[in-house]
Amino acid sequence: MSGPITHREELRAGERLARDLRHSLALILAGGVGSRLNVLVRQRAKPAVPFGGIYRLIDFTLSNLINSGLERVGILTQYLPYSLTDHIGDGRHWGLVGRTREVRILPPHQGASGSDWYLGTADAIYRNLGYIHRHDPEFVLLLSGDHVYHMDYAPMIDAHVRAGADVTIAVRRVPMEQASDFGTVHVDRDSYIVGFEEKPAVPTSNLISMGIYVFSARVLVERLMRWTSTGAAPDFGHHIFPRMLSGGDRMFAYEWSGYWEDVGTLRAYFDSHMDLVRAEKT
Amino acid sequence: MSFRGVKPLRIVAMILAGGRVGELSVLTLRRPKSALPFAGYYRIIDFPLSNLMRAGIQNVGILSQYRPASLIDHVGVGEHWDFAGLGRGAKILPPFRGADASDWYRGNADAVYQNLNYVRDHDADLVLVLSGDHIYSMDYREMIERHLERGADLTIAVKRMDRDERFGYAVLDQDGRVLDYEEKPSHPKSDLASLTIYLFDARALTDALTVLRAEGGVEFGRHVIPAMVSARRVFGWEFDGYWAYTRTVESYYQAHQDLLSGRIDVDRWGVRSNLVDAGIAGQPPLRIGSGAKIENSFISSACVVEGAVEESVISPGVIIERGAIVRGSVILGRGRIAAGARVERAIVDKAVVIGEGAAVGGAAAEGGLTLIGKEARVEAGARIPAGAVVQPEEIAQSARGDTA
Repeated sequence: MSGPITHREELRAGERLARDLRHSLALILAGGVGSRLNVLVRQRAKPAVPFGGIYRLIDFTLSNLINSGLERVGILTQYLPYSLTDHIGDGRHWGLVGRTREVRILPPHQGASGSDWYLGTADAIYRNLGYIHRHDPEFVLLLSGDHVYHMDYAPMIDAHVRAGADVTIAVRRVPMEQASDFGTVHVDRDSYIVGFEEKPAVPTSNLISMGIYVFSARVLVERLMRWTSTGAAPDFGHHIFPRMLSGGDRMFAYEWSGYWEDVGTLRAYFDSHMDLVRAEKT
Repeated sequence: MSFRGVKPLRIVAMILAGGRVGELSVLTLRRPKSALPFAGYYRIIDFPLSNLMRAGIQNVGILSQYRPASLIDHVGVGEHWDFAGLGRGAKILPPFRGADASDWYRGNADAVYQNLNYVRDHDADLVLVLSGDHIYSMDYREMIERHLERGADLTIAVKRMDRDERFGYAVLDQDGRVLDYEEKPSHPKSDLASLTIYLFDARALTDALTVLRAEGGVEFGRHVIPAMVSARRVFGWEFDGYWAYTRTVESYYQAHQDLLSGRIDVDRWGVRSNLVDAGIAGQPPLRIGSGAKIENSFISSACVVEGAVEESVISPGVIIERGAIVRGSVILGRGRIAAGARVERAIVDKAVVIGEGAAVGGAAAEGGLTLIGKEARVEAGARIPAGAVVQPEEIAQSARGDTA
């Protein structure tokens, strides 16, 4: 696009984005054990770990959602969900109640096919396809419930639509020595993903996946039905993304550089609190 | 590829709900016309509020300066229309005194001008200006899409009407652009009447009202629109659904006839109300006694009918005793029509008692509509002739002959 955008174009783009947000469904993966947090997670799920005095970790993600204008949220739980369930309540503290808004706890359940505990991130979504189907969204935003960050998801959804992508993954640069903890991506000059490796022993890229994905809902459902339903591909990073890439799906990288911490370890949890009390942190 | 920071479109609505018109007689002595009860459970303002809810517009300011107590009670914080919660809200905006000589609203445009901070505070891109006294079901989204497609500064909803002097009329070119607009002309040049439903670009609205304020303009129809037609991109958007306004006692009564004939369909239209304010919450269902006879009527919960009801609309909590006849009437709730009383072609406000054997109103041939004000009492055996008006809290004796 060239030339300055006119007021008229700006309003029309804004209307399209508002519509895309209305047609989006967010799913938060909140089932992880987070065992590296030791005693902090003996009696609660990692997203329910208290943070910053009055918060719990999942507050960051929920607040990002409502501040981004996303109003339909499912939270997938599995591990010790009680304090999380109590904390979320009916969602009113995040404005997520009303005629078109909701936050719903989605515990594991037994279905017709003898459902079982979730085998991975993709499997967890696969087992809740009924929830997605009920909302019939155009876009599904997949999030983690245990990250400390402040992000507006609306521009990411906007980028996904403009890129004509099947899936868009939020990515950021980290020091190369940390990259092996994450999924790493290679991108072309237009930010389309040309390589994806989950937790490589020897990383060749320091551009890492933040575990925040925007899927076109139709594509998500079709790929999970094709690959995950057989039990062969239970995880996005290990199975779904490599297959999408080799299958020719359009995968877009949305680079984001704000403060973000996956407080997966006691050290990271502690450091994030210190970041809180230090000024001048972005 | 680079992405500009696109901001989701933000729309606020402002409902002009303040007016009291003399034509509504005793019905609006104590309430603005937008708070008039309608169709049993509703008040007129429920129509625009429900339209807004269905369009997903989540912020509405309600501009009211005439006796707004019943409106405030009814709207509350807007939870019944899904306006309550973070980032949303229905707010009554009364006149206020500000640093620079703010004052009573001098006209509908002046009322919006004095509340432009509401538009600014919500960082709105578009402002939908509505009236609180219209009965209709409109998809504002369609109007918004057309407005954005055309790059309009102002889009006016218009409807084909008999050319009479009550409305403003617009002449459109084939692209829908307004070439000419006249407010209440004696000889309209077109049959496209403005429904006083305006969608403004927020910047254009702010500019127009600021200029107009300097020139002393106070009304949309007389001042703002004519000024904008010549200088801005003003379009008409034609609406062909049912639309009525409760401007006079006759039009208010006619709207109830349209309800009974099915032209107004509150169910299909998805109209919501505040059921606590409507007097339904905590009340029992309608009870129909053994002697009752009911034909083509709307009768609300918490009523007891032991007499006859025909072609009438009854709000919650009305008792119609044995032998009483209510025909072609609108009863606004919490009242009692005592045994053997007869009410015909009357509008009976809230908490009225019609005494035993009394006769109120009459057939069309006998005179106009009869009005009984709030909390009035018609004595047993009294006769209130067709076309008469009983004042609020009046105790009406027998043989009243004077008419309105």
